[in-house]
Amino acid sequence: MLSITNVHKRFGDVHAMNNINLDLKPGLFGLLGPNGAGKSTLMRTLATLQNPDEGTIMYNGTDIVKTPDVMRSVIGYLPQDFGVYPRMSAEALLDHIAILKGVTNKKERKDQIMSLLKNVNLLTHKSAAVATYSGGMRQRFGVAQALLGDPKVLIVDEPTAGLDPFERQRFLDLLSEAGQDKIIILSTHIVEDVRDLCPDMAIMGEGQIVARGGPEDLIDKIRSKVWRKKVEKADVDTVKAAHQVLSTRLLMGGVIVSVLSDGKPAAGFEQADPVLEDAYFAHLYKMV
Amino acid sequence: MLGSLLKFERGLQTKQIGFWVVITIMFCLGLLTPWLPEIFGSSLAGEKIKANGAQMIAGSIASWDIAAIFFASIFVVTAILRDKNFKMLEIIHATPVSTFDMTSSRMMGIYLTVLTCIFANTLGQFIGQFNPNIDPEILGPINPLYYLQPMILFTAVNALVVTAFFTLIAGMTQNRMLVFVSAVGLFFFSIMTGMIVQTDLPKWFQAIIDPFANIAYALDTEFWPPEDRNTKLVPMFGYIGLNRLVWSVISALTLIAVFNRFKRGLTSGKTKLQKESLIDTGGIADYHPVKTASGFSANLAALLTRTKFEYFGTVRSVPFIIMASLAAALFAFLAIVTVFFSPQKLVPTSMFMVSLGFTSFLIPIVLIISFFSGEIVWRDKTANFTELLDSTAVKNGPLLWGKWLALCGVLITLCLVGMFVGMVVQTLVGGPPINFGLYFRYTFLNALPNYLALAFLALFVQSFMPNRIVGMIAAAAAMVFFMFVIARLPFFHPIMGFRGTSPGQISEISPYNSWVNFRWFNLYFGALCMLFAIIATWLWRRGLQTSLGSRLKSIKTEMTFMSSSLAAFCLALFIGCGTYIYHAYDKADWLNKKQTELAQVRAEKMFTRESKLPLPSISAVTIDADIYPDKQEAVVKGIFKIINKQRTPITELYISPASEHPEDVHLMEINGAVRITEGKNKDGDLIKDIEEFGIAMFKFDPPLAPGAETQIRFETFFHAPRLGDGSAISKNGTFLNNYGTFGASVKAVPTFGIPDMRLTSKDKRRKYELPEYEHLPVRTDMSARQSNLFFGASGEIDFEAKVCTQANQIPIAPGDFISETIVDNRRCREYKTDIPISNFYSILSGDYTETKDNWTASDGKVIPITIFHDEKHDYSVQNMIDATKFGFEHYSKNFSPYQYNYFNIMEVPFISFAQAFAGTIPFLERGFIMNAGDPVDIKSLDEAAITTLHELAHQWFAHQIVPSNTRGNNVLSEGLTSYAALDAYEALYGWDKAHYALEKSTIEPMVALMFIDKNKELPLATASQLYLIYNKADWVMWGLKHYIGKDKMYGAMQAFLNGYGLKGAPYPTTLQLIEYLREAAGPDYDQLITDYWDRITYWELAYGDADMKVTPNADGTFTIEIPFELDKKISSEDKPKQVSVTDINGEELNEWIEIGFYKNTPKDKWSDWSALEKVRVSKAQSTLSFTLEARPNYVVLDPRRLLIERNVTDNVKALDKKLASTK
Repeated sequence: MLSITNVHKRFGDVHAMNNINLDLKPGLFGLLGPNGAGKSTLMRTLATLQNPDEGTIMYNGTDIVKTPDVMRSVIGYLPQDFGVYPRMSAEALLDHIAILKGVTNKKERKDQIMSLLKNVNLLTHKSAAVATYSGGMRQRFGVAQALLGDPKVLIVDEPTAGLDPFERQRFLDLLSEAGQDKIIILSTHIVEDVRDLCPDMAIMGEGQIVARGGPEDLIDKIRSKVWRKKVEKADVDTVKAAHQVLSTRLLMGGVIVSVLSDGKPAAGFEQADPVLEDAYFAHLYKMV
Repeated sequence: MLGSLLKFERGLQTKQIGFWVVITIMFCLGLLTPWLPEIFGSSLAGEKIKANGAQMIAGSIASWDIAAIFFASIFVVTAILRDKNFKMLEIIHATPVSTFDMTSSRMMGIYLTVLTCIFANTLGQFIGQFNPNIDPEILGPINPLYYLQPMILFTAVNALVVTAFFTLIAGMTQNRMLVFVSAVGLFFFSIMTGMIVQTDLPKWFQAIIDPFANIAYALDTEFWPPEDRNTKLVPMFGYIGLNRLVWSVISALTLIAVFNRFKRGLTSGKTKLQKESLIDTGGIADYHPVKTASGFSANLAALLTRTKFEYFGTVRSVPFIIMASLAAALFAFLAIVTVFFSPQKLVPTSMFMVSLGFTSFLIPIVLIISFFSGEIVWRDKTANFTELLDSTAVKNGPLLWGKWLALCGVLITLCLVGMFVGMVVQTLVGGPPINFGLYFRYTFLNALPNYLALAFLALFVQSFMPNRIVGMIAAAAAMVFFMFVIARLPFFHPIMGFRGTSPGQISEISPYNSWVNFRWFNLYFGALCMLFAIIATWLWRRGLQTSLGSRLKSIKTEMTFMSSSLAAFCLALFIGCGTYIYHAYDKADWLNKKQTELAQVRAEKMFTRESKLPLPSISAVTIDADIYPDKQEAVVKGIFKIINKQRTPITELYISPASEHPEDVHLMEINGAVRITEGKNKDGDLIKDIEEFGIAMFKFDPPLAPGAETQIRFETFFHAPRLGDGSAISKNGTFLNNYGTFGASVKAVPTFGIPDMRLTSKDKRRKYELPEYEHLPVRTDMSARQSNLFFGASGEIDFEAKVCTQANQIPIAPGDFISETIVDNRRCREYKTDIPISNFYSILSGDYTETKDNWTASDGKVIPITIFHDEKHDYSVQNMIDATKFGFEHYSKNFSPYQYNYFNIMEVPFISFAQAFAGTIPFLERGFIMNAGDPVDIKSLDEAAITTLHELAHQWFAHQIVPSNTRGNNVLSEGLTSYAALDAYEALYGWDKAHYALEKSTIEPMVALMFIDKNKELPLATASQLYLIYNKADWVMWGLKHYIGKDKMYGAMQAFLNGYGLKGAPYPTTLQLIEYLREAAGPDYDQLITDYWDRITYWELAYGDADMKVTPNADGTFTIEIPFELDKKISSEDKPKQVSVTDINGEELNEWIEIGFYKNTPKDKWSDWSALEKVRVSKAQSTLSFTLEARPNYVVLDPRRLLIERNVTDNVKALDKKLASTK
C-alpha cells in the first residue's frame, strides 16, 4: 500500500502539489490531468527524485522521504523524458541497470533481460545502440528497464506521448500484462490511456486531486447531464457564455459543443451518453 | 538585422556562468600581476625592470592571451553548436534570417567575447598598479599606451586566431567534445613551438610558427637594455609585424573558409534505427523472476559495474584517445628534439627518458584531469540519464566511487602509456638497455602519487560546481594553485602543499633517500583525499534537487554511521599526521619564506659587530669519518689546528657547528676557550638568541694572542632521514664538504664566523630599511687580501683524512692515497696531502667501479687518473680520461706544472654541478651519460670534456691562483677557468667547434641571463653575478686572446701564476691579473682592456646605408669599400644608464675591428674566411677600404666575436645584395 498524505510541493510561486492525498493498492492506477497539473512532480516525488515540502508518503508503513532506499529497492520508473548513454546496446544497458537494481546473479539477470527484450519486441535489436532507436523503440526500452528487478511499484510518466497508434496500443498491452500484484501508476494527459486500462484513477488539476474513483464512477456523476449540439464557429462563444461547456470539437465545418446541464440547455441540444472525457472536463473545471 | 543578431549573441554569451567565471578570474589575475609579480607575473620586476614598464606589460599581455586557448572554445561551442546541442536547429534554420547574418554575427560575437575576457585582464593590470601595497621603487610612470598598444598588436590578433581555429574545428566536426579537445591540441602546439628555439631553424620561421607571437616578441626584444624595456613600446615591424601579418591572414582566410562552407539545416545523414519489425515475435515471453540483493554484495557489484563503465567509457572515447595521443606525441617530440637537436647530445638512458617524459606529461595531465573530471562527474546528466539512474536502488557510494576509481584508472593507464612511449622512443633512438625497474619506480612512486592527489582534488572541486564547464575551470584553477602558486606564498608550509609525495629524486645509481617523507605526507594527504571522497559522497547530486544549497541542507541524511565514522577517522588521521609533521618541521627549525626573511633581517641587525670580528686561520685539518650508507648515518670527528694570524688578539669566536641539532654535536671544544651558553655577549645579545641561529659562542681566556696556536676538536653525528630534515648521507654517492652550500652538498665540519645571512635583494633591503648591501672589500684593501675565496681567514692547510664506509663502497677524500683496510665489513682509506691545500675539501663514499689511467708529465712524474663511477655509467668515462690527459698536457705546457699527485673524478647523484677540490672532482651523474657526438661535427658540444677541462683548470685557477676575499674574486676562479677550458677545448677540437661552444654556452646564456638580472650589472673586474664571472670573463679572454695571440696570453697567465700561484697571502685580485694582461698585450690594447674589465661596454657594429663597392684592380686583386658605423655604449656602477661614447666628454672611439671576408655563407664554419683583416676605427661613421686577393661574396663584422656586442644579426652582409641573415 502506498499512502500519500497531505503532500505539498512549491517551486517559487507555483504550488505544484497542493495537499495531495492518495492511497494506492496493487493494480493499475491512472493519474489524468493537463500539462502543468503537477503529475510529473508527483511522479518524481514518488520516484524519490525530490522531496515534498510537507506531508508524508508511506510505502507499506515506511516513510519513503526519510528512507528513500526502501522505495528505490521496489520501484521501476519510466520518466517522461530520458536519455541514454551513447554507444551502449540495449542488452548492455539493461544489464548495467539490473546490477544497479541489485540483480547480482548473472544467470537470473540474463534470463530476465532476454525475456523482457522479447516482451517489448526488441530482441532482434538487442545489440544495437539504444541511442539509435526510434521514439517508440526507446519507450519500449524504457518499459523494459522499469520492469527489471521485479518492481512492486511501477511509475510511468506520460509514456505514450509521441507514439503512433500501433506503438501506443502495444505499449498499453505491455502495461496491462505487467502484473496484477504491482502498484502501477500511469500518469498521462491522454484520456483513452486511462479509460482503456485503469480500473482506478484520479484527475489532477493545478496541483490538486479534483476527482478520484473508477472511470465509471466518475462518469456516473454526470450521467444524463451531458448534452451535445452542432453550432457554427461564430456561435461558440455565445454558447460558452450561456452554458457550462465541457468541450468543443470541430467536425466538418461546424463545432460540436458538449455542455453539462441538468436539463436540456437549449433548442438543438441532444442528450448524449457521457464518456470519460466528459467526466474529465467536468471534474477538472469543477462543474461537479 | 545583423546588429540585432550581434546584440543577441553578446547577450547569450554573457549570460553563461562560464563567461563570468572567466572574466572574474582574468580580471583578478590582472589585478594581482603588478602586486605579486613573482607569483602571477614575472620575477624580473624590480627596481631595474619596472613592474609597470612597457615591456613587462606587453610581455604579460602576450602571455595571458594564451589563456584564451581554453575559454575561447567555450564561447565557440555556445555560438556555433548551440542550435544542434539544444535541439533548436530546425526552428532557427527555417527562419528567413540570411546565412550571412547568421554566420557573421556568431563569429563576431565569439571574437568580441574573447576580446572582452582578455581586456578584463589588461584592465586588472592597469588598475592593479595603483595598489598602495606595491613597493613604489618597482613602479615607473603610468602610461596607458603601454597597455593599449600590446592589446592592439597582440590581443586583437590572438583573439582572431583562437576564434578562427575553434570555429574551424566546430564547423568541421560539429562536436562539442572535439572542440574542447582541440584546445588541448592547440596548447600543446604552442608548447612545441616554444621548443623550436632550441634548434637552429631560421629566425623568421621561429617567429612565424608561434600563433601568439611570444617567440617573435622575444626575438625582437632580446637585446634591449633595461631602460628600453621600461619605456619603449613593442616594435610594430620586424618579427612581430611579420607574425601578426601572417596570422591575421591565416585567421581571416580560415574564417572565410568556414563561412563559405557553413551548411544550413540538417547536415547529419544519420537517422534513427528504423528497421522496425511490425510483426510480433509471437506472444509474450515467460516472465523470469529474480532476487534482488542489497547490502555489501549489491554495493560491490554496483561499484565494479560503474567503475568499469566509467573507465571504459573514458578511455574508449575519442577525446581521450586524442588527448593521450597528443600527450604521447609531445613527449616523443621533446625527447627527439632534446636527443637529436640539442647541441649537447645526451645518451637516452632510462633515467633521462622517464624524467623528461613525465616532465612533459605534467601539463597534459592537468588538462586531462580537468577535462575528464568534468566528463566523468557530469556524464549521467549529459546523457539525460539521471532520472532513471537515481531512481534505482544503487547507493551514492558506488555511483561516486565508480567515478573516482575510474579516473584513477585513467591516470594509471596514461602513466603506462607514458612508460611505453618512453621505452619505445628509447629503443628507437638507440638508447642503452631499458631499466624496467627505474621506469616502474619513477612512474608509480614519483609521478602517480601526485597525479592521483590532483585527481581527487579536481573531483572534489567538481562536487561544488554548478555545471561541467565551470567545474573544469575550477578544477584546473585548483590544481594550478597547488602545483605552481602556493609554494611561492610567503607563509607557505609543507603541510599546505597538497600533493602526492615521492620518496625522492630519481637516480640510476642510488636508491631513494626520503622514504620517511613519502610515508608521512602520503598518509597525511591520503587521509584528506579520503575525506574529500566521503564528503563528495554526502554531497552527491542525487535526484533533481541538486543545488548546492539543498544538498548541504540534506547532508545529514546522507551521513550514515559508517561514512561518518570513516570521515571522523580520516579527519583524525589528517589532523594527527598534520600535527606530527608540523611538529617535526618545527623541531627541525623549519621557517617559511617570510620567517626566513625576518630571521635574516634580525640576524643582520644583531650581528653587525660580530660579523667583522677577526677570525683565526686553520693550518691543519685531520678528519676521521665513519659513514654508514645503509642506515644513512655518519659520525665525523676532526681536529683543526688554528693560528691567530691577525695583529690583534682574538677574544670571541663564533662557530657554526656541523649540525644545527645540539644533540647531534657530540663534541665541540677549543683548547683555551670556553663555550658561553648563558647570559649576553658584549652587545647585550642574549646567548640563547644567538644560538637560535645555530651559532655557538666561545670566549678565549686568555685571548688568543697574535701568532698563537691552539686546537679545535669536534665530533658530529649525521642522522638518518627524518621528517622535515633529510639526511646528509646517501645510500650511494654521499658527498660532504666543509662549507655546505649548493643544495645537495652538506657541511661536515664546523665553520668559523657569523655566516652571511644578509638579504641580497635591493628591493627587500629597502622594504626592511636595511642599509645598502655591502659588497666584498675593495681590491686595494690589503687586510682583506690576507683572506682568500675559501671561507674565512684560513690560508693553506695540511690535510689528512681517514674515511670509513661499508665494504662495498669506496671512501674518497683529497690527498694521496695512503692505505686501505677492510675489517668487519667496513672499508677504511687514509689520505694525506703532501703539499698544503686551500681550506676546501670533500668526503665521499659510493659503490664505484674504478677506471684508471695515467698521465706522465714532462719531468717524468706519473699522475694516476681515476674515475669512480657506477658500473653501468661508462658512456663518458673514456671521454673524461682523454680530456683529463689532454688538459694536463695543455695546462702544464701553457700555464704551470700540476701540483698534486693524483686526479680523481667521482660520480655523485642528486647534484647538478661538478666541483673542483684539490685534485678531487665530485661530478654530476648526468655528466656520465653524455654523448660526445661526432668530433668533426661543429654543432655538437662535448660537455663532458668541457666540464672535465673546466674542473681540471680549477686546479690552476682557484687552487694555484687562490683569489683574495675582495670584489671580483670569483672572476679569477671561474672566469679564468672558463677561459682555460675553452682554450683547451679549442686545441682539442679545433677553432670552429670552440667558437660554436662560445656562442651556445657562453654568449647566448649571457645575453639571456643579463636580461633577467634584477640588479645592476657590474664591471667585470668587480663582478659577482654568475653570468659575468663565468660567461663574460670567458668571452673577454677569448677576445683578448685572439687580439694579442695565444702565446702572449699564455705568457700573461704564466707570469700571473708565477707571481701569485701557491704563494699564500696576500692573495691576488683582478687588479693584478689586469696588470699582467696589460703587460702582455702592450699599450695598443690598453683601451680595450679597460673596456673589457673596468667598465661596462657594449659595442655596436653596423653597415652604413650606402652599398659596399668592389673594384677589381689591374693586378687581379680587389678593393672593397665598406660603409661602416661604430658605436660603443658605456655605463658604470655609478652611472648605470648606457650612454654612447660619442656623447661623453673626453671619450673617443679608437677600436680594433676585425672584418672577415667569405666566399660562401658563413653559417657554421666561421673560420672559412678567405681573408681576415684587422683595422683601427676611430670614427662613428667611416668607409673602410681593403685590398684582397680574391673577390668575396660576404662580409662579416667581427666574425670571431672578439667584442662584446649583443646583437650581431646585422653583422653579415652579402655583396651586391641586401643584408643576409646569419641564422
